[in-house]
Amino acid sequence: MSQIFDLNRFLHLVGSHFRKNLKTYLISCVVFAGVTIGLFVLVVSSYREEAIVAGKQFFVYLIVIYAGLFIFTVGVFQPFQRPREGPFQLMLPASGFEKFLLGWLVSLVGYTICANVVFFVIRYAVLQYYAAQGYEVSGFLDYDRILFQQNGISMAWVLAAIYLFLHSFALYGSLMFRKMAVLKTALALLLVVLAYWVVNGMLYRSLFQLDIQQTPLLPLMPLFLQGDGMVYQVDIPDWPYWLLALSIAVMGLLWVASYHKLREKEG
Amino acid sequence: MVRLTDLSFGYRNQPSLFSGLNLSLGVGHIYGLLGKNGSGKTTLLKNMVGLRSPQAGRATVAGEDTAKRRPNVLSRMFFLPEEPYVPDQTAKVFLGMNSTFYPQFDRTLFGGYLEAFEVPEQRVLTKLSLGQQKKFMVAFALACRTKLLVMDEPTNGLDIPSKVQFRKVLASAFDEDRCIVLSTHQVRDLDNLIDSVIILHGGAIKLNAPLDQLTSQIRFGNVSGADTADILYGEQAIDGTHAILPNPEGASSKPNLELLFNAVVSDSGILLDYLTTEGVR
Repeated sequence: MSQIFDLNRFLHLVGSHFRKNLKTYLISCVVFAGVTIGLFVLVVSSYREEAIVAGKQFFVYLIVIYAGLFIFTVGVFQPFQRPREGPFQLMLPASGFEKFLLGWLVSLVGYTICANVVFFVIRYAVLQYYAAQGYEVSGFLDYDRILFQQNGISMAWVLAAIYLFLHSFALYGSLMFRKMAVLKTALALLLVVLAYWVVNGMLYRSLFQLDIQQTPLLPLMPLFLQGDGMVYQVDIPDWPYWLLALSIAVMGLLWVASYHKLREKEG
Repeated sequence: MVRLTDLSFGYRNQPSLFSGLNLSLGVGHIYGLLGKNGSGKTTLLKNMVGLRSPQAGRATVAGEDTAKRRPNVLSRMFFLPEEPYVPDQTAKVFLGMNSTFYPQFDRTLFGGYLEAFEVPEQRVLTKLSLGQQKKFMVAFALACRTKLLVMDEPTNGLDIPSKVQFRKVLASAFDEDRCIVLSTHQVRDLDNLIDSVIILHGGAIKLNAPLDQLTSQIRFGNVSGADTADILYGEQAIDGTHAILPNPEGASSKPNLELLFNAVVSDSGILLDYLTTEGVR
């Protein structure tokens, strides 16, 4: 029997995990559905027009799916942090890799499938309700401003990169912080993003003698410079794919770091 | 079975707890690990089972490094902490979740232990009293029938009848293929249960010896004022001096663990010197 991965042992671990957490997951789905409904109602009622365009739907989607991913993932390894439960989980006869893989699959694959199913079921119900009220509703994928840029590069790659980065960061936070892990991880993320903006802004200003319209949100994104009444765009061809490659490298490092953190965790 | 070799450990920003510690434990014994509060008993046990990684040296079980926490090693040992974890579920669900990880787990034995401890099987575990939760986990730990069973302060939180029951159940669960290590700072709780004693003091194993070997070399008894010349260690009491004496005749006496512990951790090294001379330590 392999000491790294054994399918039977892993299936036992999966079974044990779901027997313990199924009730919590079901309640979480209900809460997720409730928040989605609430946000839809809030977004729709905040506009005077009687239309639910794809952009509004996409806004709700991004908020609930990304925030849900972050909160759920930060919680996935929290049992290992609890003073009583931690030693029990660490001593459970399964390998560190199997325990990590379970947490990774549940928080990334499991969550993504469940959250999307719940979101689209709720979206369908909400849109049916508003359509009956005489609202004009659009299809979800009609929002080409987000999904497709004018030059044809899909922004979905950028959103996927952010999604995966958020997951890897949250997973590391789950193993890093014992208490108030969601808050601390969110704060750490905020500090990382702020530090990036500040340092990157200083770097750009030292490189170019023109006004920078806005420091790019993410690395490798186009830079817009203003000077002599002109606006210049500096970008790398196919930058979304480079961004995706960079994200994969960063999140790969974070996932590997999380695995080692779990393997070396002490109780 | 268990071997600690040149083990050193200390918590971050704190003085070292152990340095170059060596210990060897075999199957067929119930060891009592005794030590004062804060002497490092729990830390030593955690190093033993791999919950803490030594800064230097090794902790092995059946020749395998415990710090690596390989599944084949984990399935052969069970560590019961002083405050064990119980989930918000019934015993049946708990067993379904966890017993499959222990190939030797015996459901019948588990039921028997629960009955002996008078712990109801149908109730949600977190609704049980702390003592009952502990007894539940002791029953689970014993029913796993692992080669190595390590219990940290197992009698803490148990009432007097439960302590008696604990001793009976543990004695019945013990066999020659198992190694059981119990730690406590209440030495009387382990009376009539352990067959070997380990005393941890000042970051070192001061004594690691089978009780029968000890009692063949030393004798425990009460002595009056005139006969105190041979005493290795003594404590004044109302009925005379409770003493540890040399035992050249090999007379049998019931070991007084509390007295032995006090003798070992006292500043006087007479007893330990004597035991070293007699080849017991």
